[in-house]
Amino acid sequence: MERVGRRLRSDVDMISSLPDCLIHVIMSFLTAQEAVRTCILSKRWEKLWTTLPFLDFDMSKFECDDKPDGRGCIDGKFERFLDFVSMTLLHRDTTDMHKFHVSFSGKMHRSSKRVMFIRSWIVYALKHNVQVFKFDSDVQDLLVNSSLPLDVFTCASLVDVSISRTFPRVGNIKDLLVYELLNCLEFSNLKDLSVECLCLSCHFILIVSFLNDCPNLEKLSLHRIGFHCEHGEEVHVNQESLKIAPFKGGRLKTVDVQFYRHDYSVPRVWKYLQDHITENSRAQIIMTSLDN
Amino acid sequence: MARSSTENMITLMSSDGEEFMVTEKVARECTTIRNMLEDDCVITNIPLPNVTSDILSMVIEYCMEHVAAAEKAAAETAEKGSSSAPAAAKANKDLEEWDKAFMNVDVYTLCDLILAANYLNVSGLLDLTIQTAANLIKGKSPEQIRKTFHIQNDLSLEEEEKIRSQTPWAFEKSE
Repeated sequence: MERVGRRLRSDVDMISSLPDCLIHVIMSFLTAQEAVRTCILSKRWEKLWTTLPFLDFDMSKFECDDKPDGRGCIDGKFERFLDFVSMTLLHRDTTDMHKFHVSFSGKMHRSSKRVMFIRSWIVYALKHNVQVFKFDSDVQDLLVNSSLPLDVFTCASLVDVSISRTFPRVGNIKDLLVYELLNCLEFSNLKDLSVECLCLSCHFILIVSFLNDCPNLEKLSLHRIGFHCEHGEEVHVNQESLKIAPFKGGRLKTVDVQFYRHDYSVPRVWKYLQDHITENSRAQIIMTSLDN
Repeated sequence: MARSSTENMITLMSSDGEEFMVTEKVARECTTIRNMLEDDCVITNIPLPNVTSDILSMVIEYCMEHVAAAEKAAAETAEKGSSSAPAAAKANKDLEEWDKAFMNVDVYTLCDLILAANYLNVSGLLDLTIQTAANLIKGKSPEQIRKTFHIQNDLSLEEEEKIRSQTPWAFEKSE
């Protein structure tokens, strides 16, 4: 009798009867594209993706064009990816966004005018109270051709921010995304900041002043950090600039820095962290050299 | 209420009236029950009107296995002073294997387990079941997903075409 019952009920569509919030958690493990495509499963699923608060856009899941001829192929993939993200955001409901993850892959031609969309995605995410923001790319200066200012936005919703790049940035170039994001206002809830591949000499003061805007920051990770500038000079992290940026953050528990040992600034930064961070908090500082 | 035994026993009652006696430690794996126990420490009988007996027995089985694994690891650490990394890695792998075997259920039971894990707030089980459900969707065509979960396609051909034409950017070529 029980066996028959099991057999019968096993043909029942149980997943569609789950509440939206649980289906959304299942969808959070899919890429945004897989999630959006569930709209044609049935009437129940048609609008589910429009209120999905977890969006994971992964360019590596997009195919190249049929005739791969180097740059044209990658550009086609890049354009389709830009379209997909923009259209998905445009067609979403007004629901808040919990997690926004964008991952670019492959070196691409960055002359596309549409790269300006990327900044509007970030504005969109901030306006929708995003809490977890992850941005992986190996495209430099993605935000250059854009005029939407980010620094007028408050980021009180952000809890976890991670920005990473495939290649270390050397040279005295400001990383615009990091620069602008860190210049935003009010990170009152931010607990975890992780930045990978960054020329720290251009950003060190910015990071320290930013830390003072994050009263609840618990973990700061700076991975694969370069301190040096193009000609081997280290101009920005000098004693004077360190003096003007005292650090207050009292909740910091971990500071994790991975650096290249040949940098001259390391001892000074190390001393700064020792002097200022441990003075105000019980933070543990881990400095790791990446060279052999 | 005074208790002489080292471990308190709690009775959990399923929606169909079946009673399950478990140790307090196992019951505490469910955050919902843990909160009840913390609010009222003398509670010994907990009715769970949202969980059937077959699903509740599975949830208990999961909690018991995970409590036992944690106790074993703690005992080994206490014995040797520190846990050895290879032994801990093996224990983790064994537990992962156990989880994997535990997830060998039909999709109806899987969804029931998701509901129960959510209601009882067993975070490990919720993660495991949700991930299992997502894996059944990943990389599949809409037709395959419908077949896997017995989803009735109540969209007419015209309606399906209309949705596709409204979201053409989602159905463009990709992996």
